[in-house]
Amino acid sequence: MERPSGNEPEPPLPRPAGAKKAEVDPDVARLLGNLESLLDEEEQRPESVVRSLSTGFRIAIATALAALAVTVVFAFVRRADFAAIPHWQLLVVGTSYAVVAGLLVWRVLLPLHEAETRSEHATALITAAFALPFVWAVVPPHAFGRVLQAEEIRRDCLVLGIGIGGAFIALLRVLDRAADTDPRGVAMVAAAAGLVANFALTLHCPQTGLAHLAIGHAPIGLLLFWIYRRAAGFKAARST
Amino acid sequence: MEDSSPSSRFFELFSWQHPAGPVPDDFFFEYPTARRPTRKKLRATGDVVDLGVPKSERLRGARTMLTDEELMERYQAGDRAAFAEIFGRYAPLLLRVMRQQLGRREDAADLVQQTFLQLHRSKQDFRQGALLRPWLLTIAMNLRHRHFRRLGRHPETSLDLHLMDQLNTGLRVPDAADASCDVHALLRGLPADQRDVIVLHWLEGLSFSEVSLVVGVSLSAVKVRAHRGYVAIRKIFAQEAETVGPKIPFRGARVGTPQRQ
Repeated sequence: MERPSGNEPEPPLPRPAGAKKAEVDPDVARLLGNLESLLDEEEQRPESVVRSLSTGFRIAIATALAALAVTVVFAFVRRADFAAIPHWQLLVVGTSYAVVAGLLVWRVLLPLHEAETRSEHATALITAAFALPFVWAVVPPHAFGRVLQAEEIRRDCLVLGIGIGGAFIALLRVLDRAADTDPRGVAMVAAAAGLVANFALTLHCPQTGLAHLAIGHAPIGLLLFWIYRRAAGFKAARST
Repeated sequence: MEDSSPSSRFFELFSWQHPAGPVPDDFFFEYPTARRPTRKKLRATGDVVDLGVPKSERLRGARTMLTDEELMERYQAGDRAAFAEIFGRYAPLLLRVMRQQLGRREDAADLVQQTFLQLHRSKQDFRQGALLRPWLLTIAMNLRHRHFRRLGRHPETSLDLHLMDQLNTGLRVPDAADASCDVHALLRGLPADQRDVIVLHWLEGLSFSEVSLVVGVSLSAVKVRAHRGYVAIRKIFAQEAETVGPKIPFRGARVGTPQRQ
């Protein structure tokens, strides 16, 4: 007896008596078709490789690149009086930024299969992240007992800070599997980027004047939030 | 004429699993059942692979369907067919859950699609020993929360057209099908945390421990939420019974708090 060639339609399987044919929701079949083409498109994109990495690895990449940005600033545009700053003072400021920024990055890159933390926690974290640079502006390092006289005047702090923060936002967007563009999601990303930028500026700018810190350093997170929100809104409007 | 012999039923009901590899789909279509040759004859002509395991074990193996977690492992290893199988198992459930809570069918379908897209992106995060069902439902619930956040409203205020019609015309619930819609309207009136627990446990049959994984709170907190939700529902029914008299029992409803763990 010859085997079927494979081109002929297969005869249907006999159904057991009383068995009902399972009804397939037309939406389900249509969705699977759409989804498979979406997945094919997804696999063509270069960022899909990064997004499909495990969460721990993605957080490690974000942390390493934030550290790299700070290191680059330290290596190339370091403040002239760096050697005179007490190290513990830098450690306190740096640790405060790093802890809050780390929590925000973790929260942003938290995969969706983990239950979300309470919204109050996220709100508290965002508030802390936006407020922290202002706290260090009002209570600057000289409050620790040593006033450093700025020998150089930096005027590029705001631009440099926004540049570093913008790059960090772009990085987080690439690493984030489901970029959240509602105000809270945007605020978390911008606040984290603002903290990274502020720490880099601490290593860059020797000025300790309240006006300079409050205008040139501290509001970078808020400015990034405003820019990112506008950009996300613009992109959403274009896609609809 | 339909063949309902025990062997044909068996081969239809159970997919053949064997370490030597799957039997081709068309294998049993080769011979009409009435003239199907014996296995001995087939072996003699070389038309059948010698399975090499006792029949009892083959039958046991045939009955074992791949679990969700095994499918996920296969998908992690790059098997796209496993993804389609997972989709087939869970898309109807997710669509049902989403439709219950979102006003528009398109939104529900979109969120289900996004859920599976996220499953694809985070497949490397799936660890051995984890359960797929709560994992997938957690993604769906998080996406739904984000959807409502983006819209700037809470699910309590979402009303579908069917419900709007009912409210506008002031119709009583005429049959069981409409009554199930009434249940969903009733559930929408509950606080979101209680509603999620009741929908997942009561309507979708998840255990309390699975629900606790999905909503990210402790087991006891889930039970408290369920209890409060059922109490609220009972109150509403009691009030309705006082004002308009007893209704036709709705589809799938059970009297009292469900006992399922």
